[in-house]
Amino acid sequence: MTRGTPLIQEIKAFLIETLDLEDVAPADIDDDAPLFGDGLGLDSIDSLELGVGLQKRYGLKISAESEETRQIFASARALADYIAAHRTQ
Amino acid sequence: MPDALTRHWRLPGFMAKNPDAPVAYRAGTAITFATFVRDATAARQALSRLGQRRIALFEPDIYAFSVWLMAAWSLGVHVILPGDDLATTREALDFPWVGQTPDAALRNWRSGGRASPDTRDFGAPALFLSTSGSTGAPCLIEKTLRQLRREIEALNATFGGHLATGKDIRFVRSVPHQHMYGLPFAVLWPLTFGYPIVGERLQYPDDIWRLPAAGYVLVSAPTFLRHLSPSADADAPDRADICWQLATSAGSPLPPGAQARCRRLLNAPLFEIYGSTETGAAAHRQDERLPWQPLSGVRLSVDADTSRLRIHSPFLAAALEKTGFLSNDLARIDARGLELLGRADRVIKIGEKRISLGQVETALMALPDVERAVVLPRRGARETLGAVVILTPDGRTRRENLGKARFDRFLRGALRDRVEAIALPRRWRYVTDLPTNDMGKTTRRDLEGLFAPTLPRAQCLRQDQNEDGHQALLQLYLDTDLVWFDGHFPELPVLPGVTQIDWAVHFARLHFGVDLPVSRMIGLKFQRLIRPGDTPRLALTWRPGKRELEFAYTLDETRCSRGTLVSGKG
Repeated sequence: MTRGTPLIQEIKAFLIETLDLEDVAPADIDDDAPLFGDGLGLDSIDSLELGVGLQKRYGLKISAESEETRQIFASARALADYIAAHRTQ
Repeated sequence: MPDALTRHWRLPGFMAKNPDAPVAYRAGTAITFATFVRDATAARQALSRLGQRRIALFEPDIYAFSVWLMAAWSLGVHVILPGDDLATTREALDFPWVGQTPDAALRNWRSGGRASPDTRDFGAPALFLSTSGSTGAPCLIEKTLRQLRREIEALNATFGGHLATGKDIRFVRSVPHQHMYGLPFAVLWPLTFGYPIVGERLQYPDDIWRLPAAGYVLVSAPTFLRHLSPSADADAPDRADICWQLATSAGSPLPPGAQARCRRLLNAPLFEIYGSTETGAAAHRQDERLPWQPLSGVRLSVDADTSRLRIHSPFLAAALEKTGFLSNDLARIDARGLELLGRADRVIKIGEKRISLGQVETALMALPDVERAVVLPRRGARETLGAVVILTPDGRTRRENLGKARFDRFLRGALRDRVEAIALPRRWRYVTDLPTNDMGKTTRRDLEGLFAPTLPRAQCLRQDQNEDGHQALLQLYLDTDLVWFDGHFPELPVLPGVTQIDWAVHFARLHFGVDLPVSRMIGLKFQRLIRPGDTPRLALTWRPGKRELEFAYTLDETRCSRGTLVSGKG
């Protein structure tokens, strides 16, 4: 089990709620595992849900299909780092 | 060249007369008809030098896509439209690929050369769409220019009346243009009737409030439309200067209420479109409570033997003109219109994609851990699949070792090579026997019962930390199938008080990372009933020093319940 910074914990709760992940606890999500592909195995609808959720919760607007987005969604840690640096609310 | 172009896929005459008329917009700047003709001429020469009868066209830029398409058709080159440009697709479709894709034979049209004479035939197949057929394997579906032409005319005859005349009206889309909804609605209809196309595809629902002032037709789908909301952005307040003419949605049904909500937000009619790659658009409806109506020129009937919908239309393939197209949808038709009753085979749609339930089950049962599997669609916030699985002894051992969450993920991972990400089950139930009714049959209702959720869908609105402790505010959505409403009470289902306390503990664990063995409860008050379908808010405050969790449920600003849970530990 990995325990990261409070923001990573918050992001994991955010992922679980936004994506309606059943039976998943924050501890089940590795800080560095990829969110798409292997790891959580999220799909294209998830990517839209995440984009909408990030905008509502953190005031972040990200482009759905860019290389940068792939980096941001690389892992819970990458997402937390990005939110810490760019959040507007 | 303008002549070859306009003769072949007749572009509107007024454009040829007005070379400055916009065909498309890129980053708000108009691309004129003159530029379009120049680019298409160059593309035609490039294709002509390539010298192939068939090309696979994959070009995410809708303007460049239109240029290639018109150029290819004017040469009589057949265009194959792949649904994606994944390596496996590029391998399966062994044609020269054109557009922005790896290893493309042609990426752009900007180099000189001479064109060869055209070899056009209006009745020959001109377009092939790659689609996932009902078996799940990709197959090519042919369209002639005549079919496409007739469909576009039917679209304009059915919906064109909603577009104001003499105004600046542009087409904007949230769906890709590489399939048999995006192509006719977002490319061919505007191109044929002289409406400019917005180059950029809308990615997020908020983007609609950032468009330049004009009239618009929105070509969209449920995944996008169900998130549509009033502009929340101070930089982009509600825009009265954006005048929506019409919106369309296709791929799967809109969730209840979404149609009316979008209609209010856009102040324009929203048509749901029913159709298929084989038939093109066939029917439409403006209200999910009302039956579907056929498109102009389309005739619908129900096959007496199978109760499946049969579609006759002027834009079917010639081979189907007599018999019509027998769909896989069960239907009922009366004087009011068409009612769809579900798929006859076990193919459903998720995120506008066809998914074969049987294929997912077969893939699951091929795994050494799985003895038997039944897969069924689940409707929650979004359409997902649920899997009911009987495990082999090896599977049971692994399930015990990994724990449920990790074992769920293990099975998803094991399926990934054979099943698209969107069709990977997200809800898993492990049983020793399938549930059966009094007759010894496993009914869908029994299977669905296994998935009744125990927790509400939730969205955290705020999370803070100050002197008073950790705070979180959650928006909850109480779907009617929550297990707690079943039988509590049969006449008047309400959310039990003890469940409200359990949920407070659950969300405290999720958001504050605290485990609460509750030893005492102070000041519990239940003031207002919470009912199925309600959307209460839950406010939580965790005070680590006192080891107490305060919770309050409210509904429309009225308190439903409150209390403080004190943990004995520490």
